[in-house]
Amino acid sequence: MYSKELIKGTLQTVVLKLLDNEGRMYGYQMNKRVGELSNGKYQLTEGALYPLLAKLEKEEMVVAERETVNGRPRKYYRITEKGRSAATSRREEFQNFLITMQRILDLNPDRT
Amino acid sequence: MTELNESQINLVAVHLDEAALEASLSESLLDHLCCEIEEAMTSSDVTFEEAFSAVTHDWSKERLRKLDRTINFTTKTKPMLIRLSSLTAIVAAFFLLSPFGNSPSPNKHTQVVFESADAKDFELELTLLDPALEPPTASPLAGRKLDDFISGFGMRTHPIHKKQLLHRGIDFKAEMGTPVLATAAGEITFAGRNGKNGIQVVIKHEDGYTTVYSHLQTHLVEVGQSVDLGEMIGAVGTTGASTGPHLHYELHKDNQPINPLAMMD
Repeated sequence: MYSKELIKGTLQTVVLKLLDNEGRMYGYQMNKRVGELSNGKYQLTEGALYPLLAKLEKEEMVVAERETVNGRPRKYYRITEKGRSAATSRREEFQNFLITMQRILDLNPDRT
Repeated sequence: MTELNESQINLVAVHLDEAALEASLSESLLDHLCCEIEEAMTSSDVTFEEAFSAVTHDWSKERLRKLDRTINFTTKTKPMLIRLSSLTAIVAAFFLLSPFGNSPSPNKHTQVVFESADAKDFELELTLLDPALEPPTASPLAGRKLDDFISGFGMRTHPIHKKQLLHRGIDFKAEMGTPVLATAAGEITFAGRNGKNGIQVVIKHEDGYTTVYSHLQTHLVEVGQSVDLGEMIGAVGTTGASTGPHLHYELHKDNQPINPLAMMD
């Protein structure tokens, strides 16, 4: 399980990228999917996920669609063009950041 | 995969209704909790009753309320703070740059600009955090840094008794009536007059933290009330044993006073 600080700084990028890859998703599904992709090391807590989704919806980075599934309403989220371009620039920034961190922290990618 | 029936979904809905959540959160969580129950019934082969009891125990009313406040804070209060701080910056910049601005003290305006920059940092710091679960690290006065105090934590000569005493908190000099803000989300456990401390507010937070705000002019909150990070709880005054308007701020961990600055990053 990664530290709160690392997750805090990357959560928005992760959620947007996930929606970009997988089309539309609902909250619980995102939670599970990120858990699977990270072997449980990257935990999307509901306390962070739902506030983030509300914020992204307000900023029009995602749109929500309501549907009735298994007898209850379910909110599916889909990425917008605005969200996609934000995700792209954040990914690029992150990649750049990784290269810089490798240099500063003297990480040797061959050894890991 | 097990699917819940209507009456089972209703039971979950009733549990959520009891927490009186904002409608769209309540809707999202209904599906989330139902998914958790279905998952538990499918993968661990437990009955609905067992799964329901485990999930609703995990998602207690308290935890649900906290999440509700978090969403409220990130989607409403925070954008308002940002708008306010940008507005301050624009007004300050106008006065600073305008040849018409009869600015008696340019330093004061410069300070305003810095203050709003601080507010932005503060905002960034909070992004994607769960503010309801953060320990008290914020400043109790808007636009002021936590380390901008006049009297620190530790042994000092008491200004009234003139004796060496442990100063259990930190003192901020501030004008009468300056808003005093909760430094973390929590519940009010005391609000009123308390002898030498004057008008005092005490907030109980997560993980055994308590914060104390003394010598207030007024308190705006009552015992039992829940407050969010940054919520105004009172105003600076000079009630109780005090030599002038100031805020005496204490942070306790498990009932022991600790230096509020020790919590800063």
